[in-house]
Amino acid sequence: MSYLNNPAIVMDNGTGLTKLGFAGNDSPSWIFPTAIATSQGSQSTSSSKKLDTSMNMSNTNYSSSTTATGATSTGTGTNKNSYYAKSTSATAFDNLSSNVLLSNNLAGKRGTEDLDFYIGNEALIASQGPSYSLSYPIKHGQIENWDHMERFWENSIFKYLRVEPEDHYFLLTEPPLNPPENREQVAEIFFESFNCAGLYIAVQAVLALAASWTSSKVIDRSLTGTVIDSGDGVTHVIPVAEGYVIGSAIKNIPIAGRDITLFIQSLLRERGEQDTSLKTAERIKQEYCYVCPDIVKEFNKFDRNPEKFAQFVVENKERTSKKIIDIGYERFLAPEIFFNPEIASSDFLTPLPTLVDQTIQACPIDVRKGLYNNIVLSGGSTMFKDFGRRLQRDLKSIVNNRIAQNERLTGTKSTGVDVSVISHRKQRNAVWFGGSLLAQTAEFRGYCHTKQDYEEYGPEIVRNFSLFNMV
Amino acid sequence: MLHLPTNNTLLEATLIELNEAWLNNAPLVVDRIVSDFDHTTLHLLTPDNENRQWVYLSIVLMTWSSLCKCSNEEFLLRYIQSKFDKYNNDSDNSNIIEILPKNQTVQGYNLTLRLDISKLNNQSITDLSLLKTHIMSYPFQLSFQKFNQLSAMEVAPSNDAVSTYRMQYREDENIYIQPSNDRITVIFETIFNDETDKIFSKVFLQEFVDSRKRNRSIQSAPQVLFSNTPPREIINITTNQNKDVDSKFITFVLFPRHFSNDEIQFKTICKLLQFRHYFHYHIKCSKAFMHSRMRFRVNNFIKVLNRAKFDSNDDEENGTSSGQLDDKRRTITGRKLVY
Ligand SMILES: Nc1ncnc2c1ncn2[C@@H]1O[C@H](COP(=O)(O)OP(=O)(O)O)[C@@H](O)[C@H]1O
Ligand SMILES: [Mg+2]
Repeated sequence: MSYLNNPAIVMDNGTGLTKLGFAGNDSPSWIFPTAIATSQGSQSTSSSKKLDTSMNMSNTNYSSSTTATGATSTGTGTNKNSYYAKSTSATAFDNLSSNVLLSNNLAGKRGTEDLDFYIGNEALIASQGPSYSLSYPIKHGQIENWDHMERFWENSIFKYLRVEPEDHYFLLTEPPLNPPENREQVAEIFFESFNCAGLYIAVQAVLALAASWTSSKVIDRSLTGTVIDSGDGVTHVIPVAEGYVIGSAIKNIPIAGRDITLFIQSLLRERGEQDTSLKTAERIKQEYCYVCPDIVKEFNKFDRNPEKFAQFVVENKERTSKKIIDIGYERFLAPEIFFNPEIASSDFLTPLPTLVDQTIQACPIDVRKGLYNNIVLSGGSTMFKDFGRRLQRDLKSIVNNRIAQNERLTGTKSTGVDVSVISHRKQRNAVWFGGSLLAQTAEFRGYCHTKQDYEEYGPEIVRNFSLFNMV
Repeated sequence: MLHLPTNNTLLEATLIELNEAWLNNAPLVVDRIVSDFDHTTLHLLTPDNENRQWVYLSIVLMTWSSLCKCSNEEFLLRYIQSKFDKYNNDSDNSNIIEILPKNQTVQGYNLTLRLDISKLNNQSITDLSLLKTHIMSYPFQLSFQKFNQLSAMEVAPSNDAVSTYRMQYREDENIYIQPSNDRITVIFETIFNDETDKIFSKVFLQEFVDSRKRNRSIQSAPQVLFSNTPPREIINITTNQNKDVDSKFITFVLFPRHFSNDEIQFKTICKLLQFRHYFHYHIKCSKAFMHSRMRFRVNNFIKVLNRAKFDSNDDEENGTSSGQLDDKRRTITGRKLVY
């Protein structure tokens, strides 16, 4: 009973970024790459020792400033600020050296390799040194490496969230079409390793729908709609009817954030810019790219007013050297990949609006209307300016063409279909935010499976969770 | 990684974010929950949309009422305020960090601090992120004072002069602090609900007690004792009437060298207050390790099993229609017949 007042924990582990936080908050408390840097064992002992001692030296002053009282504290420096800031990138991090890491003093000890690891931004930093190798335990939304994932969670809970899992309920998310065996594995870890008080596993798309309720465009709080979730690795189009995912109709595109970044990088390389790192490409993507209504016109516009070409300045950490990078057509060309995939890929050619249309057409006829007029965007890669507007326009024209054709063929007048794409403020972390909304309700605990349930029935209990019907 | 920071890094990060936003002329409005171990919840709130310079930082701890009983709430509040007074010596009379009077405390919290977000600096932010530690250091501070009193006495104090401070930091779990004239005894009462945890904890605690004997380099660390029954220091005051719970008692014996000056005192307090978190964290880590070994074993077994399977591809070469027929034509050990 003691955990009655403790907030539930909401965890959304994405392919690229992990979003962690407490139910009731309006944004995740931590956003960092779903990455883990593990010790490479004893092959490179000599070099790892060196790194370790250098880390030790620089760390003594770092840790004393955090543990000592204000009287002896020397201030925490600016490095730390950026280090704890929320990430928007899964692969790049400010070029800090591994010196800012707290030493774990483990590299020299034998038999403790399993404890010698870092997660999140610390992992990106650590992997710059020779003794750690970086891996991403989630591929295409699904957990691939359970050993790494278990340790990733363990560290997220104790170090980042600072909670005793016994005292809290957890809401986790899963990708569409997650095999039930994976759910069971998750339950095993959360109940047996962590003894968490209660667990709910929600489908990401359903949470994204719930998150769209904050938008003023949404009038009725229904769980029917089409979710377009575009993150780092894949873009899913998921139809949901009354809270149930229509699994047979789900479609995905192998184009998402990472591919767009790579495309920008290749353009930068072709032009021979001074800095063609992934990090730069990613920043250009997030700060300068937008979706245009018509690319031919946009090309002409750029040719007429060259001032539309922005410039991007990369400074190194000490602000001593500057590199100036020109930004060209990639400003609108990069997100165009969603609408004209042939620009960047040769094996996948269906534009996103067509795919959305195909998805909805594959659903039972009586829900199609609801699916067309509640198309909800979610995930970092839908954040491009005017993404929703373009999608709505293209999709509308596909739908209208079909209706016109039908009317010609059958001679009857159609009532028309209302296509509406919903963008909202919480779109970027929509899945997490939806989780936060659901988990803060008074009923939430009733929908969870508790540790007692788990012990009584075993892992297969998590194959079913009842749906929230919140109004 | 094993290291758990002493301070609340999330609180720190949030305060830095607020402060930077203010300095960049884009002050934020917040209403956020931050959590900490042992049923502690912190809350950051901008009370007035128009005046975003002020932010309320509230905290609720399970151990609050037992802390108040160590002396009384007023002294406790004064003690907490004293931890932040050094930031308030501004010439104008509005304080940067100030405890709000009881009737203005945000509902549901034990204590509300009003922060002037515009005037925070790295040092005060770090100190604020240690708020929980500062609050829970109160009975330790009382014990240090008491120790000084007792040790200055000519004759050894009688038993009834001994006072014990109790911090109930979780349900059925307590920290007892007992100063005497030559030492301070800190006793953790802890329980494990999970069966696996119980076994792990036994091994861990035994190792913990033994490590001091084995390792010469940590001889100056406090002595650690472990028992399943209440040690005699607290036999009269353990409130745990519930006989079903099997509590474990871990005793740390602090000698004057462990609290000889402010800095060492604070370090000692931090380490002790982290003890339970580390203990439980390490048990979880060990379980995770066991799990990964188990997965490794299972994978190996599956490989062996797969090797023992018949290769069904051989059949398909003959075409699928005749494959079914051929299936039946096998030797007794299952080898396929070759015509
Ligand atoms: N403002 C933005 N504009 C474009 N892309 C963005 C923006 N912010 C984040 N991203 C991209 O979104 C991706 C991460 O999105 P997210 O939904 O968190 O992915 P996942 O859930 O798969 O981890 C990254 O590739 C990142 O570069
Ligand atoms: Mg995602």
